[in-house]
Formats: sequence, structure tokens, C-alpha cells
Amino acid sequence: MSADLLPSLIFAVGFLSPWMLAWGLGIAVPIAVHLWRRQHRREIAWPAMRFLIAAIQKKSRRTQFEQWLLLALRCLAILGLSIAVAQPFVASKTLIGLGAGRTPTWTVLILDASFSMNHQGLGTSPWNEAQAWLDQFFSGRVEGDAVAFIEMSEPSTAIIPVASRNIAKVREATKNSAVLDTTADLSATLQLAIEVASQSKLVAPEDARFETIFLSDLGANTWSAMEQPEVEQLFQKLASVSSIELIPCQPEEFAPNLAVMDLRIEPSMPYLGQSANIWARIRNFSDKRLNEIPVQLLIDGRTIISRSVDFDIESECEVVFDWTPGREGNHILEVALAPDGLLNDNQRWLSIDVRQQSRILVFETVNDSSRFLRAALAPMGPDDDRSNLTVEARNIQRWRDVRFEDYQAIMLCDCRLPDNAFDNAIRSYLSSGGRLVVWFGDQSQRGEYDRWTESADQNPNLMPFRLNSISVRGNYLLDPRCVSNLRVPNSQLLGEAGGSGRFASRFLRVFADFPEGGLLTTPFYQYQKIQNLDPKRVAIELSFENNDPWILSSRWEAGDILWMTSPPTLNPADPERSWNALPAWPSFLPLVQELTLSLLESVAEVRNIRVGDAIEAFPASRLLGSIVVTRPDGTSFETKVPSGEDRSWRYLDTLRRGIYSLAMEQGDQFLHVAVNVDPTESDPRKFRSVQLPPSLQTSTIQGNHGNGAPVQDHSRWIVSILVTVLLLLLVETMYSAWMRRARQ
Amino acid sequence: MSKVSAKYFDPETLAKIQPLALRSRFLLEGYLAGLHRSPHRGQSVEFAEHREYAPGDDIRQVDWKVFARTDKYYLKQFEDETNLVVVVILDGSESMSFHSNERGLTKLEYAQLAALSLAYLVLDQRDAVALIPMTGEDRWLPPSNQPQRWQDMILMMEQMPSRASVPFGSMLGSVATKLNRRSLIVVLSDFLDELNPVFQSVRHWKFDGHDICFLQILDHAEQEFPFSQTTKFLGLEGWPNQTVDPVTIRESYLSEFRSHQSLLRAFCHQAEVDYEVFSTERPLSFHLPKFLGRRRNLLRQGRSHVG
Repeated sequence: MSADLLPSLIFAVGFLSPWMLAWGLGIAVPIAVHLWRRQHRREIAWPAMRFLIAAIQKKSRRTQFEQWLLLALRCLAILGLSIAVAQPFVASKTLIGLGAGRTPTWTVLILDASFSMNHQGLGTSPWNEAQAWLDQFFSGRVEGDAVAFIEMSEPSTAIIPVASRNIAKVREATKNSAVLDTTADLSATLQLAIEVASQSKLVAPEDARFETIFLSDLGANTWSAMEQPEVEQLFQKLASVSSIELIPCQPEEFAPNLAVMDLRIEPSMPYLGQSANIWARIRNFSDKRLNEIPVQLLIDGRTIISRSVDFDIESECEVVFDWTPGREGNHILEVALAPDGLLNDNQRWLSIDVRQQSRILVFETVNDSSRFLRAALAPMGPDDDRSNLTVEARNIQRWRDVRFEDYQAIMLCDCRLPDNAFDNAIRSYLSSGGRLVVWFGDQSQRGEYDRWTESADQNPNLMPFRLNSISVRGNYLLDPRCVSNLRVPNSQLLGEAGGSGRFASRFLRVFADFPEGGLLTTPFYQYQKIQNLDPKRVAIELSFENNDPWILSSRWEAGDILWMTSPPTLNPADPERSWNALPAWPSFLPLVQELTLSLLESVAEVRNIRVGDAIEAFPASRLLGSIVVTRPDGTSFETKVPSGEDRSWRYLDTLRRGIYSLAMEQGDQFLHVAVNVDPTESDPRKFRSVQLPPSLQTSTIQGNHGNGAPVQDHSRWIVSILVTVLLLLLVETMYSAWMRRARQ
Repeated sequence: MSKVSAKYFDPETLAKIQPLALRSRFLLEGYLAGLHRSPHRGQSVEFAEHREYAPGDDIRQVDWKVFARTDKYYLKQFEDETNLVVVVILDGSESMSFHSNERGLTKLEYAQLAALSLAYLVLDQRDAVALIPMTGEDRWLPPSNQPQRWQDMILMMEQMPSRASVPFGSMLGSVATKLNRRSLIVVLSDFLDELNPVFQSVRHWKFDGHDICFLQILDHAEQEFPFSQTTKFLGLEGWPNQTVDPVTIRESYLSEFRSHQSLLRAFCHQAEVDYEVFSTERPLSFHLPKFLGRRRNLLRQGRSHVG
């Protein structure tokens, strides 16, 4: 083996328990003893120096050599022992590469940055293990090698998108990398890795060897995606362009971890002075019972309630706090746990609005045609102080008499559309977060509503479908199983009972626990058929048995819209001309109430997102200038408010949990967004490498800590080192004994 | 009385020495108590022999009675009984300040005690004692048989510096000029310096007819080198410091030391110089009687020296 290959061989060695190398510091003991014996010497005035000097000249060199040899033997024994307990292994592929001759190695490094990498183990964390491994890896790079670097998160990011020969730069990039508050998307990461490997191949020398190295804690929530055929295909595709190695980063034992899995408030839009329940779902992921764990509720950063809670082994419990809002406006609720093994999931925030009341504006074309709707919205009468909803009705021709911004929701109850100015006003209202419910009926004119479909500019259409003909008169029944929702799989939409009364749609969930509510038996005689539905922008919440939708939902900028293809009107004089018997049916009132409340609550959804999701805002036309985003770490980001017709605004850098505050240029805060982690990442269960494709198992796993992974035969190394240590100790003992005899 | 003086008057030491007499190996010109017969015929009262007159002889020594009977001139010769002069040369070089046992005597202190003990005995039998401290200074006590001499010696020893940086051997050259009578020269030293200057001086003294005794005062550590831990040895008399692990060089050191001792012993044997090693770890009451006893036996056997 040539001398220039030796460093590569040395640094191809890794350690499963690198922190055990700290025992190597034990060599300080013999060295210290050696130095101590030299330093802490006796001093004596010596008269017979003549003979001493003569003796030293004879003996000194040999004696010093013997002393140093003994010291070296002792140090080597201690070093060997520390290396053995650090469980060394050899990167076999590197060795293969060396054996085959010196070829440049081009590596795509993929570092799992999901927050489970932060889970503390015995003195270390998967992230620390990964960084220690990377140190060794980079030290082993030689001239001609190149490395690309991908941060595996959600979304994954190619930090060094094409393998670079500037190893120092890549090393710096990995050093600067940090654990994010996200999960990890294996599928997207594989696609990115294939892309990076392909791009790198374009510039790599012909004889370059390509390898992809994953450094991950093998969290089950991430790696269970390997069981999906499409992900396995991606893996095989990556394996076709590069060898793949998986470096499991798993400490021996993880510290106990509690996680706030969910935080919600009921009612979800609390009103001033009315009691609300705050539910925190907390899970103990450890196999230890945890007692007297403090759980705190904080409102706007101030601790309001603190409780001590006991948690059974691997159990989940809900902690309920009672809270009565005393102030209108935006509030930040926070439930926090005491620090534990994984800090990233110890808090959860909820951004809510507290209002005194919600105002609903109902437009109608035929006067008083919305009376049933208004009655359902305010069943105790419009002047009922106990109701949180205030309902006002207007003829749509007089729409200019009102300011849309004063209402939390606007309903068009079987209305004709007045003019383009109304259209613009509705768009403006929606863009600033307004809520709109459109009930189609016999007054709704296709030609007029086509204006909402045919958009003159590049903006998405306000109405993501077209009105078709009105259905023939008949008897139509609703069937939740017949939702042809293209955005959500039916299996998720329908729930466990497969449509036997359980409704997955958030607008209809009240009926899931209220089967006798009569919704499914509501008689429908006619409805507005629709066509050219844009499946990417519209969700069908409920359909008739013939799959034609009755309730559709869509978004337009910041606004939520519900489209109802059959109106809440009734012609008492001629019921046969009515489109349905909905207003007379018992399901009507809960349906209207629930639809409205859900619609209003959706405001909170905008303010409560997951890490990695975009913060969306649609500044109203009156908001000019810039938006300043203050991140949880206190740093700020300023951006211009989009100009022109498209006023949609998105902020994507939400990879950290916490509260993001959006402020106008003038500094008036107008939105707090709570960004929370995905609690599935808290699950400490690890993906068993035996579940990996067989072709990958046998060649890719370097070793593992008893999680079933095919462990490379590093025990052979350990035994060899231990035998060497014993031999060293034996030699040291015999040699020192021989030296003693020789002196005597 | 100072601490050093107290050591000099150690009653146990002096009591053991008391019954023993110091005898010169040769017949010196002393007669005190018949112990020291001198080869000189002098003014003594004890007749020795007659010899024929030769021109130049003192006519006062002609035995007129013999002339009357024999008509020949014979000189009447008497054995001249005179005091033995013991010249004590005390090594005051820096190396003599060593003692490995903090509670024990330094070699110099031990040598002083030995010198005083000998002086006591010499003075007690009316012999004369001279003291030449080798300190680099030209101070010495000429021979005297007065009891006061012993006090003078104590005084000088107490004022004697023990850090003379001049090598002992080179200082001995000046001793011969101080000796105008044949004497018993007792040299108390560790003899760890270069030996050649010592040997030169001894040859000179022997030529002048002096009797010589070497009492080598050594510390136990110098003879056994018993150190076990790394030690910084501070060089004396200009030698550099050395830090060594004593265990590793002990054998080699002892070899060098024994070689030096052999050289010294061989020379003494050849030059008929009495040679005795006094180890400071043993009490003077062990070495002195032993030494004096051996000298007496040698005198009886007519042997010339202890080798």
C-alpha cells in the first residue's frame, strides 16, 4: 500500500460509540506520572558528582530509551482500550475503493435535520453522533474527492447541490447546518439526491466512484416511507447511480421525552367573557412512568395555570385548562412542559382571535328569501344578546350601503350578481381574509356567475368551476360516501365507519356524532349542477348519491368560500317549487350553525400552521409598503407588499417553531402566526433496518445498536484490539520486571 | 557551649578512646611515656649507645669515662624523648558539607569530631598537635603540646567555613612548607576529588620522612547510592547539576565509585600510607577505637602501614 493511501485507510475507521474515545485521555495518567516523577523530584547536593556524571554518560541513553519505551507501551495500552470500547468499524466501501486502487470518491451526503435528531441519549444525541462521524469523514477526504450536501428535512434542501472538490466549504456547510423543527421527507430527499447525483456525474471524472451516505436516526415516521413502493423505486433508482450507505446515528439509550401532541380550544373561536376549554394532548414516549411533571398554560407569554401531571408508561393524556378571555383581539395560547430529552416538542402554541361577536351579512335578491337562513343563524331572534352571531340582511342591489370589512362572513342566498364593481368588492373582501357562502338557487344566473369563472387577468378564478344546468326535478339524497373529493382520499374523508354517519368534512363533523340529525334524509328536489370543476382548487364536502356535489369549498387568496348547490329557501305557498325541504328539516339549524362556525374558525387555521408550511397573507389594498416578519428567534425579515392585482403574499422560512409576528411598515402588528412541530417526529420508535429492501440491507448498513440492523463485524476489530492491549500489557509487565532485575 | 562543641565533647566517644594510645608507626623522635622512641640521639637522659667520634661531632657528647678507660673518643648517645607532632589536616571543601541523613553529621562535622578526639589523645600524652584546615585560607594552628591547644582547635573548627570551592588536592601542596619536623600527618577528607594532586603531595611528604594517615570520611549514601526516585543532584565545587533516575544508574555509579576507592587504596598500599574509611552513619566510637587498635597491633607486629 502506498504511503498516500494510508491516511485514507486510517480515517476510514469510524466509531459506533465515539464518546468512549474520551477514555483515551487516560494516557494522560502515565504521562502525568512520568512528568510528575520528573517534576516532583527530590533535590540533593551531591558531592560525588564525578562518579555520577561518569555513570550517566554510560547509562543515560539506554535508560531514557527504556523509560520512553515503557511509557509508550502504557499509553498504547490505554489508547487501545479506549478505541476498543468506542466500538470501531471500518467503512468497508472505502476499503474496497482503496483495494481497487486510488479512484476519486464523489459523495452525496444526506444529513437528517429533523428534530428527532436532537433527542438526547447518554451524553450525546444523534445529531452530535452525525457531526462526529462527519468530522472523521471529511478528515478522510483526499485530493480528487468531491462532496455534495443535502439537508434532509421537510422540505429537503440541497445546500451543496453539485459535488464540490472544495471539501472545506462542504465541511463548513455541514458545521453550519442545524437541527430544524421539521420532520423529514424521505421521498423528496431521494428525488433530490438522484438529481444531485446526476448533476454531479456531469462534472465528475470518468473513473469517479459515486456514493450516497445517509446520516439519520432512522426515525420510524420518516423511514417507514420505505415500505411504499414508489419510495423503494426511488431508492433503487438512486442505487443505480450511486452506492448507498446508511449511517445510523442512535445513542445507546434515549432520555425520557414528553411531547405536546395537540393543542385546541373549544369553542375554537372564543368570545369575550365566555368560558373556553383549552385541551392539550400530551404523550409520554418513554418506558418510564413520569410523575409530577409540570404542565403550564401561558396566555400571551404569561403563565396563567400550572399543573403537575403524572404520566404512565408510553401513554397519552389530555390536560384541560379552563380560560375565560377578558380581552378582545389576538391571543397566543401556549402549553409548555418541563425540559426533557427532546426539547423541540415541549411547547405548542395556538393563535386565536377573541371577539365580542361575529357579524354575518346576508344578501338576497328576492326580499326576505333568506329568512330561513337568518333564522338558522340567529334562532333566538336578531336581538338575542346571548348569541355570538349578529345577522343582517340586505338586498344585493344595495350592496354599496355596507362595508364588507365590517363583517366576518357574507352569504349570498340565491342571489343574482349586480355588477363588476360588486365582483371586485367581493374579491377585495376575500383577499383580506373574508368568508363567503354562496347558495345557488333559481335566482342564480349562469351568465352572471361566469364572470367569477372567466378572469381577465392571470389571477385564479374566484369560482373554480362553472355553473351548468339545473338538475331535473327528482328526489335526491345525500351520501357522504359519494364524495368525489379529489384533494383528499376517500378513505380519509369517510372515516372508520365507511360513511355510516361519520363525516370527515370539518364543516359537517357535528353530524358524525349526531346520526339522527337527519342530514342524510333531507329531501332535495333540485340543485345547481356544476361543470369544469378545477380539482386542485376545490374540495367537495358533501355529494348527492349521484356524485353531484351539494357543498363545495375553495379558497381565494386569504378567503374561504363555500358553494352550496341547493339553497336554504322554501316556498311555503308552493312547496313543490322549492328546491329542497332543507329549512324544514331538523338538520338545517345545526348544519347552518356548523357551517358558519367552521367557516369563521378557519381564520384560526391561517394563524396556526405546521413548521415548514407557508405563512400566507393577502394584504388588503389599504395595506401598502412593506411587511415585517419577526421570527421566533427575534430576527426580522422585511418584504414589500405585492402590488398589482395579485396581492397574495407568502413567507416560506418557517422551519423554526414559535410565533411569527407580521407587522405593517408602520409597525402595527396585525397577525401572529403560531408555527408548531409535527408531533409524529417525537415518536422515538426507529425503523428497523431489516425492513429495508434486501439489496440495501446487505450492502449499506454500517452498523447499529441492537435495532436489528445487520451489524458489520466490528466485534472482530474490538476483539483484535483487546488482544493487542493484553499483549501490550504483558510486554510492559515482562519488560519492566526485566528492567528491575537488570538494575539489581 | 555551642552545639558543635557539645558534639566534640561527646563523653561516650572520648570515654571509649581514653584507654587506647596513639602510637606512631615509626620510631619518632619523641620519648613521652616511652611510647614514642625517636631515632634521633639528643639531649635526653636515657642512654642509647656509644659511637666513635668523628670530626665535627659535638665534643660535649664525648664520654670521658670511656676515654679514660679505653683512650678512645666515644660519643655518648642518648635516646632523645621528644613530643610526637601530629598534624591534622582537615578537608574543608564544599563536598564535606554533605550529609544524606538530615539528623546526622555532615562529613566535615564528623571529621572535626574525629580530629578533636585524636588531638585529645595526643595532647593527653604530652604530644604536640597542629591543625591545618583546608579552607583556602592561610590560617592554621602550629604544633603545640599545651592543653590549651585543644580549645584553640575547637575555636578554629567552629570558625571554619565549610564551603571552600578550591579542590582539596590542590590545597595540600602548601602543607609541606608548614612542616619543619617529621610528623604524623593525619588527613581527614572524603578524597572524592581528583586524586593526582593528593598523590603528589603524599609523595612529597614521604620524601620528607613524614608518617601519613588517610582517614576517608564518607557518607553512607555516597557508598551505597540508595536513592529510588528521580532526583536532581546538585553539583558541588563547580560540577553541573544532574537529574536522573537513580535506580537506572546505581550499578554504574557504584562501579565508578569502587574504581575510585580501589585506586586510592592501591596508592596508599604502595606509598605506605595508613588508610581507613570512616562512614558517617556509624558512630565515631566505632571507627576510632578500631582504627587506633589496628595501629597499635601493627606497631607491635612491626608492620609499616595499614593497607
